[in-house]
Amino acid sequence: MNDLETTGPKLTKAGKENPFKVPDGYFDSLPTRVQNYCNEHSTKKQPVRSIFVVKPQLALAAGFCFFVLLAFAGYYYSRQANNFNSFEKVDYLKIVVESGTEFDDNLLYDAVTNGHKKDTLKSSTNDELIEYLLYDNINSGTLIEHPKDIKP
Amino acid sequence: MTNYSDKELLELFRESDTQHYAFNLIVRKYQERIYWHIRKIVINHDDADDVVQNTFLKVWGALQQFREDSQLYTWLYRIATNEALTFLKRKKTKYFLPLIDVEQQLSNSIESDPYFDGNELQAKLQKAIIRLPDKQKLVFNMKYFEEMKYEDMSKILGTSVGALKASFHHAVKKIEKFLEED
Repeated sequence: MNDLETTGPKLTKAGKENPFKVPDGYFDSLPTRVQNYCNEHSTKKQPVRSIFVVKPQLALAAGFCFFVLLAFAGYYYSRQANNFNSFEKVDYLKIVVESGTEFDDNLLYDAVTNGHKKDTLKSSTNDELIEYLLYDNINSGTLIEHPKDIKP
Repeated sequence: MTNYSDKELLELFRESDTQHYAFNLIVRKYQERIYWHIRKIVINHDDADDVVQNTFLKVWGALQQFREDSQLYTWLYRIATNEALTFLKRKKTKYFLPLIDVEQQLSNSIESDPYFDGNELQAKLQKAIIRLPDKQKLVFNMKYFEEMKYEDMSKILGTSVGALKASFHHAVKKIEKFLEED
């Protein structure tokens, strides 16, 4: 600190006296005010609700559930799509009956042209054939317009 | 007031019957040093008063866990320093003020502060200190005004003694240059 006079002559001139002051009696009342302030803020402390304590864990669990549901939905729909495509591997009657609402002419056409499919129509009873023909949503246009093309 | 050592005060604080009494004694023992340390950082008396109360609130909350690995007063200084610097940062972000404006505001408040009793040169010295970077400001105040040992400052600020000496040297040079202007 002795070399301060050489490195900072102006600073030395300014001195070390504290130029700030406080209101009269400030330090006499400060301990009581501090104590009151601490009591006030300690009692004001809201009890921590358990929901906030487990909030991160809940968020994690919710995220996990979301991904499980997403995975399940993905699996379910891909399975549905596979089932739909697997009609190719079954027979013509199932293609028409089970995909009645979303009947795809091409699907039936592909199945027919891949000649190695079995046809349960041949082994069906009359009642089954009537039920098949009366099926509400069947696209019979294909059957009527191209009856000769559909040869098992 | 009986002069208790820090160790005795902490023992009293750990007893539930004497906890409030011990805390009151701790506040009485350190209030002035903590206040002036904070005041030199935040400049304004009302701001310093708020920061002092928040500092002791933090102390009240954490004193039970104080393990005496460090001295009580260096621990108190560390809390006070953090509170004061956080206050200035919050002030800056609250009003979207760039750092230079906060410094300008603090400089202006020296002249209008009813609790500033210094002469022109002392006011200029305070303005020069305000312009210093935080670390240099802290080091300069603690060394120049409080005459604190570098070893203690090192514990409070978590900086090596060598780095503190360098900070003080740079601070003195900057202040001297500012004081020589006009």
